[in-house]
Amino acid sequence: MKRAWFALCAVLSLASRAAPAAPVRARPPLAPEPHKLAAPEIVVGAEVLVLHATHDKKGVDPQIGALPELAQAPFSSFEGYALIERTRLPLSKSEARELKLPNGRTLELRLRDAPEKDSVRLSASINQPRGKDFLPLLEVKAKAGQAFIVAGQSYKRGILVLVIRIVK
Amino acid sequence: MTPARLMRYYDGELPEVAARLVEHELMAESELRGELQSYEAIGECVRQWAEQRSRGHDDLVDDVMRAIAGRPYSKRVPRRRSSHVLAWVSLSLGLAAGAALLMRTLTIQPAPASLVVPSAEHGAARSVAIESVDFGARGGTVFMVSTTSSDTPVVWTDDDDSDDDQRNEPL
Repeated sequence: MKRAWFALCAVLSLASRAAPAAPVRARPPLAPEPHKLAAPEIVVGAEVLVLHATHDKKGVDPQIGALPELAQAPFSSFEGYALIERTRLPLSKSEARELKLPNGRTLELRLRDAPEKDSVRLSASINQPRGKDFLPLLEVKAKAGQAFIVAGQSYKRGILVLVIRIVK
Repeated sequence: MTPARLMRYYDGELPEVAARLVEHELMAESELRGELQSYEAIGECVRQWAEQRSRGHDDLVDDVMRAIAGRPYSKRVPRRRSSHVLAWVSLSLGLAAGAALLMRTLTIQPAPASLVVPSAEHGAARSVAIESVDFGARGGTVFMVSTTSSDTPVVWTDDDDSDDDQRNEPL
């Protein structure tokens, strides 16, 4: 009786192995959904002016150009403005752009989205070399041509004034 | 403005320009002036209490020194009971004011480190809208500088890192 059971099990086992496997249909590649198609990259940039404000009576560096905000308080309390750097950073959603500041910190700009046709939302942060965030996060919504200022970082008996303008 | 920033102003710890910005805000907001006055009241109470404590401490030191020298007590000014009462009253007032201020802080400013600036509505057509700012552990303020052609938002961070200048000086 035991032999019969053993033989039956062996036959069934061999039969199951010998049976052809059920055909596996290759899944056709998913067609890209219309709303997930790569959106056209937003072409926008940021012009960054790095200014050094001091109490040296040197006036405003003519290279800075027209910046009437410097004549208003509290910027008017500084008597000298020197242009350290003027640069233009292309912004994209896929990659953050960094600018090394003269005090060793890093300004990081990233394009978030374009909530309206003519405006963009971007984030800015300033990090310190030793790992701490100086300004962890700043989020703004701006149109091309508009500017905002980040100021107050101490640098060489003065402060840094960062003028960030959105450009196309 | 965060309470921490106002306290730093009261303690004279803010940089010059940042202190001027606080003074501008104090001129504009009576509620902020009231908060500053409460800090001054607390400071005065604590100062008086500390003075009373230091007087008592001086008496004790005199007593110990005389005992060591083996001299009898002389010209010891007895401590008046009223000074103890004044010290405890001052301490109680200080603690009560501090507790009241803490309650106000907790109810009015739930997230001092992260400031949502209502400038999205202000001059939206003329200026950048600051949607949110996180100053982290440092203080800072956001204000608008207006000119004839534009309104420009300014994010002002407090920076009292004394080693910044040293770090950037040539070796």
